[in-house]
Amino acid sequence: MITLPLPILSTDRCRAVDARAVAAGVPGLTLMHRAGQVVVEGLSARWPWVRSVLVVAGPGNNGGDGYVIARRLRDRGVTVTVVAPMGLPVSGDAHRAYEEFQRAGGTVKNGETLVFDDVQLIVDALLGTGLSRDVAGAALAAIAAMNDSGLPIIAVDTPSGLDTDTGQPRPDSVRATETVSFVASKPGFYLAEGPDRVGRLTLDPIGVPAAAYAGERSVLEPILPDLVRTYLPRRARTAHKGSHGRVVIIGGAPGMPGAVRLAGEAALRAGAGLVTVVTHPGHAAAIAMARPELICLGLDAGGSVRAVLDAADVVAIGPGLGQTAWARDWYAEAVACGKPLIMDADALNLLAAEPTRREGWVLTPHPGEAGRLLRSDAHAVQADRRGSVLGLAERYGATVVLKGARTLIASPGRPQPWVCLDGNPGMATAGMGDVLTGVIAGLAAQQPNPFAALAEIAAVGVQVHASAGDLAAYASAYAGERGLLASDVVTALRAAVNP
Amino acid sequence: MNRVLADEAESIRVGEALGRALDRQSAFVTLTGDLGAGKTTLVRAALRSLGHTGPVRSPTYSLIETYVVSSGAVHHLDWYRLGDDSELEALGFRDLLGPGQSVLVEWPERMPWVAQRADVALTLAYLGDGRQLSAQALTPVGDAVLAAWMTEIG
Repeated sequence: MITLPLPILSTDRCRAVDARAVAAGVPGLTLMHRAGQVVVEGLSARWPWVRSVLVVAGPGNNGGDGYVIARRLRDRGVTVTVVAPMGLPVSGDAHRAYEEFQRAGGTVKNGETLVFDDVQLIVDALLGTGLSRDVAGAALAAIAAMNDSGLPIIAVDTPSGLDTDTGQPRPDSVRATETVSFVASKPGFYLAEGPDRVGRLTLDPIGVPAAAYAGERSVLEPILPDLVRTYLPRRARTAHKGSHGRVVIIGGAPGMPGAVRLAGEAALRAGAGLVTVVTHPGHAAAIAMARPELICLGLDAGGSVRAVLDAADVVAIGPGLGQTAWARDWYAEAVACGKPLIMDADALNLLAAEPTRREGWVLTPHPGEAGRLLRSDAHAVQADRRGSVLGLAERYGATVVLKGARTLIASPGRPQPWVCLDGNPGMATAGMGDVLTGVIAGLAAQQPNPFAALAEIAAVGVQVHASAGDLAAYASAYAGERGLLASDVVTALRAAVNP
Repeated sequence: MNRVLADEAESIRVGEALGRALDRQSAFVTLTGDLGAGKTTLVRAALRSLGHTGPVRSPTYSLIETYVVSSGAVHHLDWYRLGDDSELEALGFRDLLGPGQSVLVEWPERMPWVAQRADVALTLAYLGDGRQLSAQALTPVGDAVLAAWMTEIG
């Protein structure tokens, strides 16, 4: 699990921190020297076999970092080629860094096209944060050439061309193998296309004093291990199944028993004491036979689930629910019941068709469902994931889990969403969302007062789900992202909920 | 992970621990270090701890030496004499990167576009009479290997 010692700050706030550091007596050129040194040390440690580097340097401060890196690498005996497709720095600290490089005997191929002969690694110091306009011309061509080279790329502060506030490439960005970022992390690394572009992220404060961060708040909050441990304490030795709550999960339209079964098993693996699956009578017996620990109740349309809901500590609805009359009846009963409620899949589509507000609920949309809930579309949601999750929480009075690469969790009254830093692309498969629904319900059921802590429980649930996904993908005997099944994650949950 | 290996006995102990770590989590590892820095000692110790009892040869001329062990296979490669991708392809490299198979590569710099997929970068350097070992994780798999390795070293 990654923990961030540094906040995630927008371009403006990062600049404010930089400015305070300079005002406190740390010169800008010193920060540039340290930034370059951090990259060179990381490069030497993680890429010990690299003896020939191409530095692609821009005319601004990002390029200035690049000239420091080029000079230090030469000091270490690495063969360095510097290209400046956008020209040389003409002023400020970047110009001084260039002059230092030149005085040390370095030369620059100014404006030439990129040649990768004998190059083993690229340092991308072309463009930094705070792009004022879309990238075009020689810079855009250089970004494409770096990506097409197939070589490992270390991005300095940010992959060039990435909007570090939104995570959108403008219109293209470097796809880095690793990014070494300074002073603070950037929201764009966690949003939209960002997670695909930054590669492995390393952060370094480069000696900016703590006082320079005064008053700054991370715009996204990583889910920290302490929060997870708070909700997953060691169990009392005297525990019995009644201590761990009753979950009721409603779903599974005719022909769709899988989703609700996965959610039910996930709730059990998350530690719930008793899990009842309410589903279509056509397959209730089949689910019970596949997982005998689940209590399965087959109900026809017209039957009431009220008595079942009354006995529950937590209710979840949606996996494989469908939108038939059968589904609508139970949806209405679930929304009306006074229990903590987790809503997913078709329950969210029913909600989007007839929006309402309620106390004590968690919505877990993927971007498509989020788009419907916001009366926009998935594309608009992805373009502004942070704004979307905050907007949804506000509109529905709910804790909202916006799924995707770097899942976000927002809740009314909390100014900043949480961001999950774990999980992997193997989890983008059928049934994975059903497992998440079950996990959140299962964790909520174990709390003495789930209403009071639903937002934190949802964040912990997302983290546990992601950790289990990583265990299943990387730490099993049959490791790998491709081919990972939701069932594999259910199996790995037990390790993740016993931290 | 950085560690001083004071003598050959320590190198063997740490190498054996690496073998047990790779038994838990197979990985793609690059090996960097001057001639005599102890790469072969480390690999031999890792293979011994995985139950391999036969000889351990340098892959310098054979390009690849494969050892079948109880948990799968360990492939020891030397890319120094490789010219381009097609030769790597001819060795069946793409089939080596799979579950239960670990790949240890010397001279990764000959194929940086392939080497960038490594999970762990391992370096050995002379330090007085001993050796300085550095191992850095580059992927989540690499994180798991280093964690297991440190546990095994104890």
